[in-house]
Amino acid sequence: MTQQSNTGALTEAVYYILLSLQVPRHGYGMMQFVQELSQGRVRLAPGTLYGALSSLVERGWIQALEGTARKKEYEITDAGREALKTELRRLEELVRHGHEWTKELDT
Amino acid sequence: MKTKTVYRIFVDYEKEEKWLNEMVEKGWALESFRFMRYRFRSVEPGMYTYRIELLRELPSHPDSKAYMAFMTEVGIEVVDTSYRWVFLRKRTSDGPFQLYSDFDSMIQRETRIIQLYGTVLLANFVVVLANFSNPVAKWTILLNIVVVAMLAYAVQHHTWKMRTLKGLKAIGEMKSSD
Repeated sequence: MTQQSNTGALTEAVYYILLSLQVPRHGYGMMQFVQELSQGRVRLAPGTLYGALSSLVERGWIQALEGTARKKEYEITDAGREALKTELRRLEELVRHGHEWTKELDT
Repeated sequence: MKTKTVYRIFVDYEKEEKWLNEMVEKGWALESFRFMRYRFRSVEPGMYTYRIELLRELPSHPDSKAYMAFMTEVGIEVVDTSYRWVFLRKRTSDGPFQLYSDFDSMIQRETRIIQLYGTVLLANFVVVLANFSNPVAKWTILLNIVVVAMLAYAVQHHTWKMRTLKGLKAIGEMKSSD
């Protein structure tokens, strides 16, 4: 994995998956959480979700929980939490700049 | 329970998927598939939405098994598999059924499709070349030539589709539809 791929913006899907996995959830739970949180705007389709989960496990941002649960559950890792915070700072910067510069245009 | 068997051959899975969804609209739901042979069961019209996916590995591979287990978990039924293809369906009453909601995963799927079609195309092309001057095989390679032509069209179609997806991805995120 290159350094570059670590510092880029997260996709909406990955961002919401990381948000949802601050508590352990299984696939269907993540889909529901994201849909409810975004009031139906963001929907994780199963193929996309499956692919994203595999990449995130590989990257070490989430982990599958060992257990007897019938459905496989996942949870965010420390590295994932760090990535989420970095993204949040990036988004805040974007929003701040957006407000600053559109205000200037309005006046 | 009424059933029926239909024999058909598709070169491109997109047309096959469309046909399966038309069949279920008419009240015939795919229950099993073997090469060219589709078995349908009579159901309430429009009861399911079908999707066809190309797995990265054969169905017996752990990765493919994990994929199918995941689909089952989220309320999707694995109808049948054939080579690396898997036939999936979801009850229409459970909501819309799309496999992908972002450009990246769609682009990856198109890449897998183009690779598979390209390989089969090349194999057929080799058969055509090897038998071109052979008078005995003159008629049998005709089928290979047809396959080559159809696959070339499919590869071209999916390459175009992938380029469009990459172009859209450069602009922004995919909008969740319905």
